[in-house]
Amino acid sequence: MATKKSVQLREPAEVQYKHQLEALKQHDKDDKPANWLLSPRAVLSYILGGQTLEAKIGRKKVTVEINRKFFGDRSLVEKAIVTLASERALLLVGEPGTGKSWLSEHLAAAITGNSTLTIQGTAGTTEEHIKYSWNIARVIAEGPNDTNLIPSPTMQAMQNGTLLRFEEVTRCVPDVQDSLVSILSDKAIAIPELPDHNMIWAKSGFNIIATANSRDQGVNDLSAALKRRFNYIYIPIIADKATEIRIIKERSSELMQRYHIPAKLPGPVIDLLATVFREIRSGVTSDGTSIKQASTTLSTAEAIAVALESALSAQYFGDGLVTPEHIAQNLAGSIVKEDRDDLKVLKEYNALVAKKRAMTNSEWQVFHHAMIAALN
Amino acid sequence: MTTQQAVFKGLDLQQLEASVDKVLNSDLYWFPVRHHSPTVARLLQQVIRTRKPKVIFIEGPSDCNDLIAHILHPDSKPPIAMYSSYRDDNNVLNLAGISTASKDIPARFSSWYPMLAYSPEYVALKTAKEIKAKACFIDLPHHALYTPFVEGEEKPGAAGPTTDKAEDLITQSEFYRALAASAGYNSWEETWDSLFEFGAYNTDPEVFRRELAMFCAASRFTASEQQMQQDGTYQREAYMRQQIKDKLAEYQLAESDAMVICGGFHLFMDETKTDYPSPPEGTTYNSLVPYSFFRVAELSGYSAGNRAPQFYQLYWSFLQKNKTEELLPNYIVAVLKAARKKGEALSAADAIAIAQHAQMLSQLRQRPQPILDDIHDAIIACCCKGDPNEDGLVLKAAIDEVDIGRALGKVTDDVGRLPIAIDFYYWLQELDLHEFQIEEKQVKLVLNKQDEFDRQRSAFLHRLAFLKIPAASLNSSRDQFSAALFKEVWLLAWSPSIDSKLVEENLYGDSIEAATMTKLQEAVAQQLNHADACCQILYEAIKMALPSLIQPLQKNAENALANDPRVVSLAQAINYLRQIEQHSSIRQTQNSAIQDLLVLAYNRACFAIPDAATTQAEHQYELVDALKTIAETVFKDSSGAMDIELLRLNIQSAAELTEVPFLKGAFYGLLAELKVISGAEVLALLAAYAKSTADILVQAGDFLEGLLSVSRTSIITGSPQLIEAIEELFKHADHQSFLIMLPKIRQAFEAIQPQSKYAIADKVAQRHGLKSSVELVELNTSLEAAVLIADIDKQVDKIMQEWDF
Repeated sequence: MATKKSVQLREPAEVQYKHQLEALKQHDKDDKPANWLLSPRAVLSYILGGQTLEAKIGRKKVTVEINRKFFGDRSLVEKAIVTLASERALLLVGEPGTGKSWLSEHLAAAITGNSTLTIQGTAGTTEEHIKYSWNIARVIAEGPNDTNLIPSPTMQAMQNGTLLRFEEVTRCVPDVQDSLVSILSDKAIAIPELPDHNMIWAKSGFNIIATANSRDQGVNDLSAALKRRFNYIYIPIIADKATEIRIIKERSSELMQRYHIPAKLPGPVIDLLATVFREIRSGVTSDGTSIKQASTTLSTAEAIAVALESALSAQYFGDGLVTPEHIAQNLAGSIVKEDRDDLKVLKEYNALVAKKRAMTNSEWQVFHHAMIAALN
Repeated sequence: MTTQQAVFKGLDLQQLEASVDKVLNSDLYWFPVRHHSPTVARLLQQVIRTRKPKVIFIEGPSDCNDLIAHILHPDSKPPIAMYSSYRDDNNVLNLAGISTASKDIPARFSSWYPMLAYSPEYVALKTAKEIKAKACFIDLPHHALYTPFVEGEEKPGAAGPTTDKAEDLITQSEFYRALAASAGYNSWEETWDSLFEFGAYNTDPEVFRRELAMFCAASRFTASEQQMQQDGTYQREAYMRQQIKDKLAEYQLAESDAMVICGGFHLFMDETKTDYPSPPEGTTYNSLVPYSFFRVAELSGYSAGNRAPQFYQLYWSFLQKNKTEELLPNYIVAVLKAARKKGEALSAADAIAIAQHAQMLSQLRQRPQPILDDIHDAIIACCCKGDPNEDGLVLKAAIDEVDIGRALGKVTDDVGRLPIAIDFYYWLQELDLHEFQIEEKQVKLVLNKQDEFDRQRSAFLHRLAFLKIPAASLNSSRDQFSAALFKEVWLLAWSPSIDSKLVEENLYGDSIEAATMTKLQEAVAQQLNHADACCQILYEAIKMALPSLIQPLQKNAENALANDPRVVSLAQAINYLRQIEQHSSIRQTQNSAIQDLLVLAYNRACFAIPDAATTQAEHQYELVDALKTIAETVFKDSSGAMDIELLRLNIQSAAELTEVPFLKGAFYGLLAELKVISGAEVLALLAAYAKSTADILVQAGDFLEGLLSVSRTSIITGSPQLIEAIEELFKHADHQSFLIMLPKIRQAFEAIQPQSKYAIADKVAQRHGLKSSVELVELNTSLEAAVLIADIDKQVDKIMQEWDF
């Protein structure tokens, strides 16, 4: 029996983009904050892309293109980088699917070369996850000592002077969140169990990049003390249609490569997908007609997911070419989630907007008919 | 390819340098400036003091040269503005009826030329006086660029700030766009501040002059020639060159004795273009007026504006003390102070974080020191805990407050007043309203509308309010339609912006009355076929005592009533017309035309009702209010001219047509009020919902809400069948349907009078065998309250006697 070669589904950004990071490092002439691999300007270049650099990778001299990783506002990235070089920690806030974790991973990869020191905030996150825990069996046998202590990602980041990523911090209960206060103000973790070595001090370069979903605000909002120690950077949904189309195109083709889907996703189909998302999100069509808005966020990430699902359908149940029909089939599941009224939103959109466009545009015609079939 | 190569792609650097050298090395000394730039003002001042020219030519309207003495008068303090207006009395531009509302209204254009303490032009004038040099403006008067309108061409814009278009040309040039894209500049202000404003104040003025000239040359040589042709750049430059030549000849001076201060873009004039237009015939006014930081900020985006006048004023003051390092902390502290006043909890630690963040951002953005954009970004990053567009609104308001400021300028009394200002002050004296001018505080004025003198005052104050002259505001806390009939309460307060507003209004007429009439006519022209707006304008004209306008405005209202198909608009028109009718009856004047209009409005509204049967949810409450107005009007009609049958028929038709339960309830409720059907019949319709399927039954709440929203009398609310019908509904509704209906039923009962509500509650209680509540037989009150009630009675009695009832 033939065995399939096991392939790692994804690599961390510092591995995936190691050549770009190396090229930037070789060209970086600016001052770096302590323990940073790149200067703030080089980090900015890594995130925003647009440069082509000659670099020596291994023994070869190669041309490395730095591609754009984040499509939001430039000043937003600048503020994030500056915050990480300052006394305060960074909290990326925004609607689901706006690229907060993506930006956080790339910032950590560019600044410290390690984006894996991560805590995923949940309702079950405890103070031990944030600070440290013990190898209980050995503690029972030997009592607490340095070797029995299991450092958390936070402690590792502090000891190495690198960045800690804290995902979805507002999912953690307030008591647990507040354990970050002393870490951010004192830059230290106390270990009362070790009388001879009871403090771990952070090295220069240590900081935290946290993310929070703006829809979770008010659930476990940060305390005033913790808020003061974070600079909030709000990541908005992409306002510009051309940029959103570009992101859908690039990210979906990247995901299709990852899942080995050779399906074709034509430009007009991406355009249609982006148009539907943008119009239902904003409640206004491109010609100014008011329509109902869906209760879900309809982020760009959702649109990418629809594109990927459509590509999978086309690949495995079609001829490999993604059509508006595939988009229509996968759209309802993405838009209608918590609120059944969103089904009415889609029906209204199909009856008012798609139907009108179907009269003059073949893609919209296919989409309109497929939507009728999908919604009934 | 390096950034520099990308930026200069398509430009011959040697040719560029040669062009710059030619201008900068000529006998005539050119200094490029940007309006409202403290750095340019400082460097320019140094140059003037060093070079000591005998004459300084300034890019400013040449027809305003007479104002220079007023600008430099010790009593004049910036912010001030030169104001120029032009009125095409003889329609030589052929724009009456094209750029104005009708052919009777002449085209008008105006321009403002604001000057701040740190405007290079203002500093140049002051420094010229200091070194005893002559100074004059050399630019083409603003209205000279307007040419007669030809059918098919784009019409010129309305009156507004005429500004130098050079900054538009710069920002649209290929060079600038490439530079901004490669450097990541988001705006022209950011570009200017990064390259020239901050960090350049200590450079050698000659180095600065050359750098700015190079930048402007690169922009000019990659700008659109067609645009320069169209926006009058070439014509203005030809005129400026001719002015320089003429003035030098007049003063018998050589080019080397002179200095030219103009936008850097104009340093590279095309000398082959020599044509410029003569100003068209018409009435022109030029004046110097007090200005404000707020208005300068409003113009931001035009070159006459400034995005943060107070911030740059702060910068200018530190620049003069050579303490520019003080700018950042002082500005941050001012913003945090303003934000704290607005309730934000911000500490000194935040101020330190902002300063650090701004410094680091400026380094990352390769600037010598933080500019306003960096500081704004730092404030938001460090202090806004969420979405800046929602959670940062208070912070942004604090930033705006500190950026813009409230400074007001002052102008010497030597500047003659425009006719409208003379008229304004004349009537203040004549109507004994000048008191507030001296007091500089808010004065409350109570006008008795039955007194002829007070009626005149009322009309004048209404005119001021209509023209938005910030002197008087009507205190309309009580119902405007009834209270204002006999008495008006006005609040008068002096404001320095009165004068500048008067100057603007002079464009519309030489007196308050003339300007009011012109603007009222313009308003009419914009509201054709809007019955509500046209009747409101008629009402305004009556309040403002403009008898000559009444007849044409009545005709206009008649046309609008005949053409407006909207019930809500027509009902609103009825409201205004009823108000006018009440005015007439109080003045004991007959106005049969108004009564005719009222009947016309009523008839039109009745016919429009069936079309409203499909009104969308968000407008349904407005529709019900409109229906009530129409019904009330016919109930109160004592003339008999209004046919109640017309209303009955049309409401019946609408009731049968509509599929909307709320509207169905409202229409049937009105039919009961109009005695077309009985209350019992309507309630039977409500009860019928109980026997319907669940999806129809849940609509009963909407029906009931519509029904009770129009039930004026006890026909419905007093009927025992109402309770029976509701109980019937509750019996048949399952728990889920009940929950769906409940909010609407609650809302329905909110609309009815409290007494009716109590009566219904009593009936429900009795129906279920509950005892009625103990009646209140004795009313106890305190001695103080009794005295107060007696006092109020006396006052009411006195007022009634005054009103001669």
